[in-house]
Amino acid sequence: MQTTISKLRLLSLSQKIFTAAIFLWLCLNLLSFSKEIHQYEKLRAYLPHQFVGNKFREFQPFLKEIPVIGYYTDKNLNDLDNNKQLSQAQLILAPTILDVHNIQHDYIILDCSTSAKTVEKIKELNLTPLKITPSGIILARKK
Amino acid sequence: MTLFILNLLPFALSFFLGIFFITLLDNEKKISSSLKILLSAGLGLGLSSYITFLSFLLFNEFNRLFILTIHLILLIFFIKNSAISNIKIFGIKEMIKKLNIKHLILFFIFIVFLIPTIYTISLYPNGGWDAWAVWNFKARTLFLGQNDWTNIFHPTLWRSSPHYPLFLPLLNVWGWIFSTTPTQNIPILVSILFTTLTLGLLFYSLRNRTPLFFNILLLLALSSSSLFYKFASSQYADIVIGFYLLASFYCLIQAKMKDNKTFALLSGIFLSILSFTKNEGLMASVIIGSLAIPYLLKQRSLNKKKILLSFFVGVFISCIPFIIFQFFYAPQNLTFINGFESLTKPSDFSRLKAIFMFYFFQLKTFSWNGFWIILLVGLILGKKKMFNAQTIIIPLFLILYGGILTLYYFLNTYFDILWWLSQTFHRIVFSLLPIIFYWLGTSLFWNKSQKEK
Repeated sequence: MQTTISKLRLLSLSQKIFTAAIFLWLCLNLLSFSKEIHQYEKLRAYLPHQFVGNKFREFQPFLKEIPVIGYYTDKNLNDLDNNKQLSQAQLILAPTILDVHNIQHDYIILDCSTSAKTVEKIKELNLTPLKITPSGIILARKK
Repeated sequence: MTLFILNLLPFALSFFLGIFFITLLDNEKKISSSLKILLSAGLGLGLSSYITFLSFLLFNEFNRLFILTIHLILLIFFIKNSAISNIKIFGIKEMIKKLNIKHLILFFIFIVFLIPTIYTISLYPNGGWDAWAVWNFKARTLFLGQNDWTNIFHPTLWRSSPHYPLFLPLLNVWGWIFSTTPTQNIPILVSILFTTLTLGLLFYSLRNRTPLFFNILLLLALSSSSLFYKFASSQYADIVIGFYLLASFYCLIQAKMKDNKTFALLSGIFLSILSFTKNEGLMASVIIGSLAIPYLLKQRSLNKKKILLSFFVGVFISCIPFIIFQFFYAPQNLTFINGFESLTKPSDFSRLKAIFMFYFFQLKTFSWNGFWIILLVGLILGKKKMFNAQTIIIPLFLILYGGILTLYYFLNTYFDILWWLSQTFHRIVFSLLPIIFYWLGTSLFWNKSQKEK
């Protein structure tokens, strides 16, 4: 402690000011970090559910060795949540590639805003559903 | 426990590869044991990523046997050579003799540096947006895709930036070499590893220039800054850029100060690894490579041309994977519109104004608890010291990098500029933090009579 104080005395004025500025910055950072911890701990139980890609794991067994499949959605992909779901689905189903809005592939994932629209699309494209997730997302194959 | 060892084993192999390589290069024994450990880890990880890439080039798939064989051949070669040359690899006995209570305290302080990053990882084990959309997605496809690994360049994946270099995904694939499934542990471990290396190298690089209490204070402040721990834990390539940028600059400055060819060679190698991390890394390495010529030549040393030659030997040897990737694999950037030619999306004055307004508001707002104020205080206090002959290359780089980046924001009109800036600007600043603090620390405590140990 004594050595640190004596070393502090040896510093030039500009070095002392900069050290004080860094110390102040550290205090502010620690304060913000402790506030964040407090907020995050309240949310900790919900955070795993933020990763929405997990619901696509059910499709993995059907897509082994399938390089590219279609991904059809009537939702706006510029919307952050819809875009996030697509990105996370792509991660979980890799190496299978999700070709967005391309309905020419044999396998298609359907994520429609209502179940009526999903049924309509399945009929229109002549598809057989293979797996339905609890949230209503369907993996289907062409007949 | 077995899983933990299997997760660590690939990185341990990389580390040994790096330490043998550096020991053989450092025949003048100018590199201290602690620095050798830090640089070896960076070099070894780079080599492992390159060897993994070679597997895809030669076999068109992830070939475990080939990758492990090459690692083992290289290790045997280095061990044999060091035995013939009677080189001490670690100097363990000397290191243990020197260990005291101060080192133990420092070790625990270093653990404290990592707490904010590890805490954030515990909240978000899947990382940030680009972790799942870009880096980890590519890593999984490379690992599981067999001959279809080139699907990562599919145009439909424009959201995943198919044109980005593959250093980080390849490193994650190397981390999974003893696993059957691509677990999340490896990307997490890689981000912790690079955070540790970056903080460790920053600590070491400032060690002989600044008082210990200042060094600890600075690293505590940096590691507890939300700007730092959020990106360090995000599993993005930006922490990798931050480390190789610092390693490259540190070795370059040491090469000039110590008139040492090994440091110059290492700087060149790190620079090329940097170009394989991300497009920003490529841009940074081109700027540093260009600045290194006048920087290394402007000295009185008789060896200056040999040092410059060593630097470029390092650059050319290790840029081969990047060149192969860029010319034979990398697809066109699908998120690019030349605003100077486009009639529908031109680079107009309003775009330029938006860019500078964004910068201005970043400075004006109290972002990251006053990071900009700290920077400004440092610059004002340092005055002429900030532009001393040894570290002048860093401010020159920062000015050029900032200028070219601003030009690119202006030229590429694909994205809405405010959205694009809000998504990318912070992570670019984050990757520059290690060199900014290295520059501030060394310059403010710079003394003409001071000779680095």
